[in-house]
Amino acid sequence: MSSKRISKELRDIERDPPTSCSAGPVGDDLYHWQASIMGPPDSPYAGGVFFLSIHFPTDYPFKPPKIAFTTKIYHPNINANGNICLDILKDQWSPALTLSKVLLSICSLLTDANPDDPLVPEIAHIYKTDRPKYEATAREWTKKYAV
Amino acid sequence: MCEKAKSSGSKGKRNFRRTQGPQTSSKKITNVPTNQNDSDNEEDDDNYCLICAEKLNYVSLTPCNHKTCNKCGFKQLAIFEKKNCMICRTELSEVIFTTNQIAKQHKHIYSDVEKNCKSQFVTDPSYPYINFTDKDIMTDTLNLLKFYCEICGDQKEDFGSFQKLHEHLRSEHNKGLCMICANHKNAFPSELTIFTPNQLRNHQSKGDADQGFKGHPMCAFCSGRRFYSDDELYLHMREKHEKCHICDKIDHNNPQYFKDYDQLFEHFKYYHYICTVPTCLEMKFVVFKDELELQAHILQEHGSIIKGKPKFFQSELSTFISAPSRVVREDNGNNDMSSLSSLPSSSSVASSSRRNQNNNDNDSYVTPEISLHRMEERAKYYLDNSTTGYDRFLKYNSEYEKGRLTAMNLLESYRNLFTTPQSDVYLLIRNLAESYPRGSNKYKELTAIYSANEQKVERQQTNSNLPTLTDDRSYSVPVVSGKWGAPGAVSSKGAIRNLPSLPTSTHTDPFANPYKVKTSKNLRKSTPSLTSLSSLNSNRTVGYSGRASGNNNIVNFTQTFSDSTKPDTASSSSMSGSSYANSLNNTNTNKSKNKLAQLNLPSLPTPKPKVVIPPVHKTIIPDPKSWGKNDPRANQGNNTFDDDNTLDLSALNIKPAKGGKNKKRGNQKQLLFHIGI
Repeated sequence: MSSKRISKELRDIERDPPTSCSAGPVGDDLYHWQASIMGPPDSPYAGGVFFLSIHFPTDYPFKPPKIAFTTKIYHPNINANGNICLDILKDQWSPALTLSKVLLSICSLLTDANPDDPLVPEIAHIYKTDRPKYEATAREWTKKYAV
Repeated sequence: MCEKAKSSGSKGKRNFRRTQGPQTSSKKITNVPTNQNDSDNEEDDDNYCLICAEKLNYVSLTPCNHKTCNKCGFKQLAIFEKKNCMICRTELSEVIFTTNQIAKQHKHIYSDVEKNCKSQFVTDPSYPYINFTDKDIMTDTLNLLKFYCEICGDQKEDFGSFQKLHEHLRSEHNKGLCMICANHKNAFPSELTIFTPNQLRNHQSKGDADQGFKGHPMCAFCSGRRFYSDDELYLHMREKHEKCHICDKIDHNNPQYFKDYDQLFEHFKYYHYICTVPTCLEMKFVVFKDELELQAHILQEHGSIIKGKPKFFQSELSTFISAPSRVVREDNGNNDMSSLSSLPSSSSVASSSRRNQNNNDNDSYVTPEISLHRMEERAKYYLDNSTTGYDRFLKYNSEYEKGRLTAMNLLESYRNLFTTPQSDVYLLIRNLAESYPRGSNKYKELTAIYSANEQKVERQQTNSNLPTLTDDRSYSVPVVSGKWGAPGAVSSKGAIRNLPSLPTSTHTDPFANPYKVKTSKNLRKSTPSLTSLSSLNSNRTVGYSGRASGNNNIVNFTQTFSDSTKPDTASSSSMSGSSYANSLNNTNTNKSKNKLAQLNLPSLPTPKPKVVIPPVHKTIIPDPKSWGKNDPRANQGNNTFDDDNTLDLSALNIKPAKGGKNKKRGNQKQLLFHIGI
């Protein structure tokens, strides 16, 4: 059941790849994918290539995919384990959402962080009080881990 | 799934469609339509459910004109009990379930379908907001909720619950459902797989690889109790068991769970640092990662308690002896326990720190595979996913690999190929470099190209700052010489900084000579008695206190020095003369001074620049009147400013002086006091 939907998404992504991100299965396992997101040019993550791991649950698309960064990133809504705090990956998930839409949402999360609902309060605090410092650190991490 | 396929689809089209398990359908049916899909996309969207990607037969159409298959639409309404459109989240007051044919005829406009089919609408009392355009659609949809036995296949008996269906399957067919799936999967009864006992065991422990299912995870503490997924297991662990929050902080990816608080406490005791103060023990989770944190906590929270036995805690603070074993020993009076405990605790700390180190190493180290993958993704992005461009890119890389392209040629080819604004060929070069083993020639030459560009960019970025930089340099030369040759010329702050380097300054005196010559006249005029040594003194003293007291010393000193040509005698005489300043001088530059005194006497005027500083002079002036009084102050000032000096001082004092005992003692006391602070 879920496999049909996932193969359809794979077909769609291959046929019409979204700009600035890509995704595909790791090996033969249709339920385990790897994705990459290019750091948005107008963000401190510019120039970085960020990898993510994706696990589709058996109940997909009625349950959201589990997505986490595997490249370290300095962001108020992404913690040291790469877990992403994004509503559409949790209670705001909708079965009509597709992986490429989610990846685009993550892209826009990189450009516009949400410091009011942080996963890493320390970074959110710096983001709010000392934006240049946040950007400098994010740029430094990008250069160190994602270039 | 195979079980489903076995069941005979005796009733209607829907059953027939449902019984097409992936094994049969993938070969015969789905392959054909997928080929069609690739050819025309519009067909795809119209004939396949957006949610489950199954071919549409009966559909659910919402007032917001969104279409899904009746199965997904009904699941949302009946099982998830959400009256929202799955596609746009609009709240639904009603929906129409019809055939895909009718929906397409009306171009998926809800109001049109409603207008034309209203007369045929049928509804079920349980779901009054669902308008079925046809009785077949209604029965077919509502049957999704019935607990029919698919093996019997007659759909005569609705068992009413998963449990009863399961019991029927077990008694009649020696098969069963996975009750964990039944309770958590949010699936229609017909969607659940029927297992033989063996299959069920496999399903629960290993999972069904073709469905992306890896088995129901088990709680290690609750004797084989399994959970639907990691999420449910996590909830259970959080509610019923204890997690060590300290281990969690150290390594978040490797959480340590314990059956109950007793076990967790044992773990705390041997692997972490518990605060054993009764109030904290009652709070149960006052535990720390290392001794330092525990000590900080004790000092902060239990300051009153430790007042009685300060030595105990102070010594712990200063020596960092492992505390937990100690705490345990105190509590239990059991030495064996403590000795046992100290071993694992140390090993755990070591292992955890090692783990952290590994993590850090991994963080910064990128494997060639990741670099390669990164480069590919980057190239695709720069090329806007153009396949021809990407092929060219791969060709360049293989040419370079074979040695047909030099690194510079490769860079040039990249430049021609990647013309989009987001392109940065140097990042590609870097990724390519890292895909080769470190130390290989290709790695080196590519990295060289990358880092050369990095430096260039950096230089460009700092270009704006360059003028100021050069200015600084031009200034810096005289400043340095000024510091060395004539520290007095610098402001008091500068002088303080220079103090530690004083001994070396003596060596560099020659550099300062020209400076000195210029200023010497003034100096001589103002204070003819000043000598090189005195200048040294004045440097220090001025630097330290910037007060008249320094001057007093200087004056004393200069006199002694000028009298005695040999520094040794000078120092001794000065000491006997009970001038404290002498000791200062000696401490700093014993040998160098001697040489200086002998060789550089002509350069003595150099110190005079200090005198040039108006503020210094002014402050100096009042001092001579109150020499005796000021001396101790000056000492104090010195002590507080610089520990090294005071230490040196004391050492010196001990050696030469017989007459100056009183003062030395005073100094030493001050020193002790200082250290104590």
